[in-house]
Amino acid sequence: MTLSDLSLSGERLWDSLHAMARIGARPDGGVNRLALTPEDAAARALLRDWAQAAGCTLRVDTLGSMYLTYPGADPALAPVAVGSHLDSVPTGGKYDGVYGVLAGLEIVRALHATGRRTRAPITVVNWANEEGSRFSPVMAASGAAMGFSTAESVLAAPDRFGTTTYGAALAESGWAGEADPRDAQRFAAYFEAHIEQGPILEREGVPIGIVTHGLGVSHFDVVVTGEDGHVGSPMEGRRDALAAAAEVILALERIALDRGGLATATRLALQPDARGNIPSEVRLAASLRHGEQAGLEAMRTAFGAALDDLAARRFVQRTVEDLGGYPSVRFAPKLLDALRRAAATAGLAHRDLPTPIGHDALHVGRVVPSAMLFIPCHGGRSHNPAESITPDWSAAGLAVLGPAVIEAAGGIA
Amino acid sequence: MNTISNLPLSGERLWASLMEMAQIGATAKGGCNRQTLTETDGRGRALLAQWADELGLAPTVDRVGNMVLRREGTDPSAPPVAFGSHLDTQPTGGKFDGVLGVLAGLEIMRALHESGARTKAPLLLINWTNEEGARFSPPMMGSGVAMGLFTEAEVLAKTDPEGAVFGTELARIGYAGTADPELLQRIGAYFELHIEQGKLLEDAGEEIGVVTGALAQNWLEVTVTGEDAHGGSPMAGRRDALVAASEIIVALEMIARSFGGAARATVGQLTVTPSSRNVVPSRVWFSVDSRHGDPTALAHMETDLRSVGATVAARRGVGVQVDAFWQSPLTPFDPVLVGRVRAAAARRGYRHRDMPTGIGHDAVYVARRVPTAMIFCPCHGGVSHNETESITPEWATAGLHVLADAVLETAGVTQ
Repeated sequence: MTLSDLSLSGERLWDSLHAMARIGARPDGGVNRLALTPEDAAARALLRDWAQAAGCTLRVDTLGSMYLTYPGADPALAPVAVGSHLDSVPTGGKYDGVYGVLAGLEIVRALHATGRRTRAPITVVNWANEEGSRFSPVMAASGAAMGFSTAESVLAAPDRFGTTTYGAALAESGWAGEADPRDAQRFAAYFEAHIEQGPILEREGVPIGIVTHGLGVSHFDVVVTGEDGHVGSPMEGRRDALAAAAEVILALERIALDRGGLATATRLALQPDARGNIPSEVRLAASLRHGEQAGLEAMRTAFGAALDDLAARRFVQRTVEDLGGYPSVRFAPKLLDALRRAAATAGLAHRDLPTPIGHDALHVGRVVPSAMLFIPCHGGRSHNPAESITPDWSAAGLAVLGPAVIEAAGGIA
Repeated sequence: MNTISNLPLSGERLWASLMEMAQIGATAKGGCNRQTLTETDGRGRALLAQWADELGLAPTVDRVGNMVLRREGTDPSAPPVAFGSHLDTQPTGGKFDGVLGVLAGLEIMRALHESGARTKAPLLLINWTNEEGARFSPPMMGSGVAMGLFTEAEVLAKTDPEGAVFGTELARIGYAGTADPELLQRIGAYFELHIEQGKLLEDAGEEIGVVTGALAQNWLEVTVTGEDAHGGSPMAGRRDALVAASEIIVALEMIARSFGGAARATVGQLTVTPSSRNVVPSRVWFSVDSRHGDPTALAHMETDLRSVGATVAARRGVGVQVDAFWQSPLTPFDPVLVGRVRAAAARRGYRHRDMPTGIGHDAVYVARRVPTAMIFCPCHGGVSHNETESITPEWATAGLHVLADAVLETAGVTQ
């Protein structure tokens, strides 16, 4: 089956991406479409209208995730899902998330336009609140749908910018549905296409990334407590929390390099943060990532040992505040093969790679056979108004996603 | 030498006065909030003036509020011997920082008064205005103006964070005097007793620090520029400004340790950009405070820091920029006066050591114009600028004894 056989239109997808980008458009070319805002609601309405025009029926779950189902020839079969998210970070781009939803939409549009059906239904999914910018945590709705948290806890999350909650904002947006989020666990398969948000594909000139697995991630804060003192006091006997924190940061890097994982320290807050004072307390934000769950555990253990050693050598106290994360997830080999075959058929170069970044597919992939594909983005830039892709990359992703989804749905009936 | 050992110096009276002064601006946690030119500072000054009045000493106040209590000597032509410190505190200060030096000086005046002894040179007890610099920056304003390092006009025009003007506040508490502060440049010697604000003495079980001088200071600013990236981007190819900065910070500490006991280097302030949980930092800025007793060594510390910066920059593909910010020269104290302090400690049988001060004091400014020495006594855990700052009465008494002996030997006792 070729792209033209399926009538998939890269152009229609491109136009839709830019029509969607007008909702919550920022003057700098980016998008501000925080979850459950009027902008998010408008984006949802546009998606609904487009999908209904393409013969889909809409279901909305109690957390606001949208399921737009194009009927299959065999109504008894579980749907194959394809999607991502329409919400953005405050200084977001046009493609993060949106690409995966609208590429899924383009598949059902093409089927509808030519009056065809797959054996199994195809459901285009827009997961609520993937970004977590307004309501913590990230990927909240897909996580609850897969049973990793409760709907109640998601609905109770406070708005970081105001006084409302997820539940109240959802109701106000008019997008609180009736469906049980856990129904999503019955999908036969889940596909998510996404921009890479990294530099590898563009650098290598490869338009398709077959995402074999998601790195397990552990987020935490480390608080190092020493003792304050005047900067004129002798080096001997100091318990400088910043010098200790600098060693923590270097230990993180060494552990990542030693164990084939990733480690990142990002935010640093000093007490008292004054030119004339030895810092007595430093709080730093850090994360560990690894492709294997055992590898992630080993990194955590090594980090704990490094902190113990540091505490003993520098007479500082340290506490680690666990902020959660998610385990390493292997995507379904059969679905990955379908993506690889589709790429080969379309004559598109592809390479395997993991995703170090969280996506709804990392939740879904623990319960439902899932796969992701990446397309390049310029300079690896994302979560940035300057996020950009080419029409060719967009069309390439569609040309691979479409056949793979249709194959998973039992082919054209 | 006409010794002073029969002078009725009273450690108990000194301690009681310290505790009484600490009632003014006392905080719930046992410290003091007697910030400069506040109503509480006015009350602290008034208590000192009242105590001096009991000894027949009337304060002279200069145009920046420095209080000088003069006890005449037998030789009016002899240059005065001065001693003192400051009564102002940090907002969450302790009971002893500065106050010990002033009230130990008062105790010398009291003992002389009680015994009727006369010195050859006149004695001046000084309470310097705004040593702390917590309310009006910079610190050590009163001594700085007196020694000609700041102008009266600039100091009087300083404003606090609420916009109150130094000159107005000085007048409001009644301490805008008429004396010329720069007359204090004519004093013959200056001694200052102070708590160490470090823990070398306590850890070594010593009672007296013989302060040989103030370290030279070199303040720098370092900016590390890398590239931001998602927190999940591959390790290879990252240009992480924070990891690079961490290498420099750890190296800086090693540089300081490699330059001996008189070297200090500290990163006190640091900012990360963009400071977002999931973004590899693209820029880190931090302050460097470096100090040494030898200006050449201090310059070498900067050279070493720049060299580490260049190595890190090359290896990590980041930019490292080191900028000069502020410098203060090495200020050695007067060897003769320092020798008198050391000899007094030895004569009294106090365990003592020579040490520099890495911290600014009024004595450091005074030493630019006048032969000067300082005496440290221990403080618990080195804790200072803190409500829990504490010393023992024994340490205070040891400091008093050494101060008195050095002052009286310098001024000469006639009876």
